[in-house]
Amino acid sequence: MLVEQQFEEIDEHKDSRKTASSRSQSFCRHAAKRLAHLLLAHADFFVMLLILGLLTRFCLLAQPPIPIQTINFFDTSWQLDLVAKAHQGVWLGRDAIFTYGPLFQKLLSWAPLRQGMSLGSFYSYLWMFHYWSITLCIYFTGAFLLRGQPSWVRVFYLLLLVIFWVPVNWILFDIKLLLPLCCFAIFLRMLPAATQGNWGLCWRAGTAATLMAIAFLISGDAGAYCVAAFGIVVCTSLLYEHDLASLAGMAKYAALTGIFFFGWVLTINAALGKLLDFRFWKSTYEVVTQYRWSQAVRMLPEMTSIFWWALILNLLVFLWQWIVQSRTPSVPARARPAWLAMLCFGLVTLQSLIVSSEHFHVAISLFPWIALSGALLLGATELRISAVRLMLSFSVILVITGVFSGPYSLFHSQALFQRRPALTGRNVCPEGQYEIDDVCLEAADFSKLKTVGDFLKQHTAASDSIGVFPFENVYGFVPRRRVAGTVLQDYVIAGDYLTQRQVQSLEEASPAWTVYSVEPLQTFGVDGIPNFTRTPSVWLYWQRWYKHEFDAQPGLMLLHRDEERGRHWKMTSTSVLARPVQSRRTSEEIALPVTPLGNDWDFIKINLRAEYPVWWKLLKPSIFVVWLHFDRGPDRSVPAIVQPDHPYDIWIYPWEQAELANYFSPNVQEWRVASRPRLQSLSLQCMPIDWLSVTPSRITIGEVQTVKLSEQ
Amino acid sequence: MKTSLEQEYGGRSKPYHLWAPPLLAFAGLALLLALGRNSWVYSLPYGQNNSQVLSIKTSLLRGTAEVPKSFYLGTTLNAGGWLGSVDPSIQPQNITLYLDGRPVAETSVFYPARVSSNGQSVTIKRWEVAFFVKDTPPGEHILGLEAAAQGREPIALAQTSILVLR
Repeated sequence: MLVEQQFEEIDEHKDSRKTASSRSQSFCRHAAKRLAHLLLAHADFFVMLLILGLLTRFCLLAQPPIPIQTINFFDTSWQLDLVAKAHQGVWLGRDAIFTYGPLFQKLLSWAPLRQGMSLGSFYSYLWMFHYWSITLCIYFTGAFLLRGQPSWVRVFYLLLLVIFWVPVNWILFDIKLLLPLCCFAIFLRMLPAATQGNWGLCWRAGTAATLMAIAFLISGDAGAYCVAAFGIVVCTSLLYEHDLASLAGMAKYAALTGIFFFGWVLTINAALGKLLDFRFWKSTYEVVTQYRWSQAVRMLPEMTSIFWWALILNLLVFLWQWIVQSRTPSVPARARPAWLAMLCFGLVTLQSLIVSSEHFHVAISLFPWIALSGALLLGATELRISAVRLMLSFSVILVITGVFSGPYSLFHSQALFQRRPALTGRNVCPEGQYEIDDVCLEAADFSKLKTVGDFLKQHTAASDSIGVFPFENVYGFVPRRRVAGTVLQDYVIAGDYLTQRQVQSLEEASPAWTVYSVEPLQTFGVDGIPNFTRTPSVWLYWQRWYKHEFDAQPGLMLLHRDEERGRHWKMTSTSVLARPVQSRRTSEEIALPVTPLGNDWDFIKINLRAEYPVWWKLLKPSIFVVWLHFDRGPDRSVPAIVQPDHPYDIWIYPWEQAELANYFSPNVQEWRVASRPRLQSLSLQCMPIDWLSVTPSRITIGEVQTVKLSEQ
Repeated sequence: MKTSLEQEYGGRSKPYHLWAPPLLAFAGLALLLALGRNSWVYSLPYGQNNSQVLSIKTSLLRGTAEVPKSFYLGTTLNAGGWLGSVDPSIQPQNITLYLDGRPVAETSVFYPARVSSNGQSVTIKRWEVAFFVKDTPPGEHILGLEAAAQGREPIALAQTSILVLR
């Protein structure tokens, strides 16, 4: 080959290499561009992943034993028992009833059970569950509400809500209201057009029905809010688009959603037992509806002003947006119905706050409206928002955030970015704390759990169930014993259905041992109502069949089942009301005309009916107080709840609640305290809990009885 | 070629329209993060820090009582504490709570407990009392505690002022 030819070949080769290199460079540039475009277009998604990663790292780096110092025997008890019950194959909705559903139980217990059930694994994953559910729900809410806006606006929205506004607390799971908020955003976005084809209607209806079913499986509240969200979105759109085609389209959409949802109802029935067994739905309905009167909590006066501030600010944001919309010539057709739907949904979610007005519920209940107001300012109802408007919106949001809030403590500190073992786990407990089940507890809680746990391990087999009164299920968790009872904690029992289910399940389980906490020393009355007065049927069940056997601590009793005692147990009632009483001046003290009461009895039972105006179902009922006047010593009072518009029995132990522990004595002579004062007269008064409380229009007292317990 | 922002704002945007909104948004968030105020959730009232601890020091009885600083009409007032007797043969049998000199609640239920004091284990008695408050005008009132022991005059344990709120 000639040298020239060789050079030519080399040149050709060089050219081809150059072309290949430039092709590869162009490919790289193209790929980089595409990647950058992808990152920019979905920046919110990647930021969400980053937040999840940071939070997960923070939660999982904790090494056991985790120093938690004290256990909340009220709320932690049900959370732990959900994990324990999942481990035992006992599922909410099928075998147990609570304010949450089986999907929630599965999600909460999944990670702790994989790691190995213990208090330590529960606490490790508890916060992760909180953060994941919160971050995911807020991400999807922003992604659907602000889909028309640039992704960096959604990033801002996500960071704003996760860091500054979402309430995070370990007692109340935000998913109850955040999931409905997320569903609302999805319903709003996928609302079908009037001319939507059948396939479009079908998949939308199927998705809506699936989301509603998921919400019910999380909790009854979430399900109810989700259905409300769907109804609000459909109805508000009909207000603005009520031509025949729109009406027909919406009717089809709603009907299809109903059909799909019914399909889900049957599927859930089949998964939880039988196709036509609607127990899950019945118990969910009972828990949701009875909660309003049985768990109503007073709003503190200081909270009232905060409530009004929040209400006014949110309304101002909506008013501002309404003015903007009315002055903008080319708003999207769906902007106004979306505005109205957001306002209505924000108002509906205040229901949780109205019923239970303590600070946890106030915070979580206000949050959806705050989130919707933020989205509205950032262009949730608009396709395009000008830079000037956007800057104005940011300024308003930042000023409001700066004035009223700050970052949630985790984001404020360096903790999120530090190595967690340096902060917590040192493989030994700090001084003054003792290790139990991979956590460190102070002496008081440690000794209670240890003593009761050791006792139960010695006296029961791993397959045995135990009883707990009133709600400290954690006593069953530590020794890994199943806590008997269909209703997870007694204070949820309200109304005939739940009471019957609980007593029936206790009779079926008949546990050999029960842990009884004496009020007020070892436990407290939920919302100030004595536990005996709240759930007399359950207390009477334990009292009939169980006797006091061992004191783990003063006021912390181990009761043992005694068949003989149960068979000889006798309850007799004597009517003492001279004549029925009816009062329309319901806020006044109603003296009960009773015959001389004597002293040979144990309880007072007042049968009454309180009739309320219908709007109590949007607010909350009043509380009842029974005033007791004795022959010596100060008067006593016992607060009680009464089911509205339904015959109800108030059970009262007129003397000190702590003395109820005596009734578990094996010796019947010790049931009553010898020197108790005589009850001379009694009266009843209905008192509003707070300004949101409705007073009954009429109270009818049908019967007052003294009830005596004895052995025959 | 127009950027996505230019496309979104109709291509007539001034340059600062592109960078000013995100700059304002994220700089604002960073500033708020740096300022580090408390989250709004922590400012919600829940009746925190509403108790006062009274020291009980009489010739016979020692202990403490925990009572609220204020309470609302139509709610239950809870008080509790512990007592130990200097003379083990004389024990308190009853504690009465007075509001403006009027007995409003009493308890005769005591739970034994052991505490460590100066390296020694001492037996004490825990007590709790509660009453539902009504017919009391809002404002400052005097709350008193009195113990009764067998064969002895009632012993005044402690007294404090308490605020009744409507």
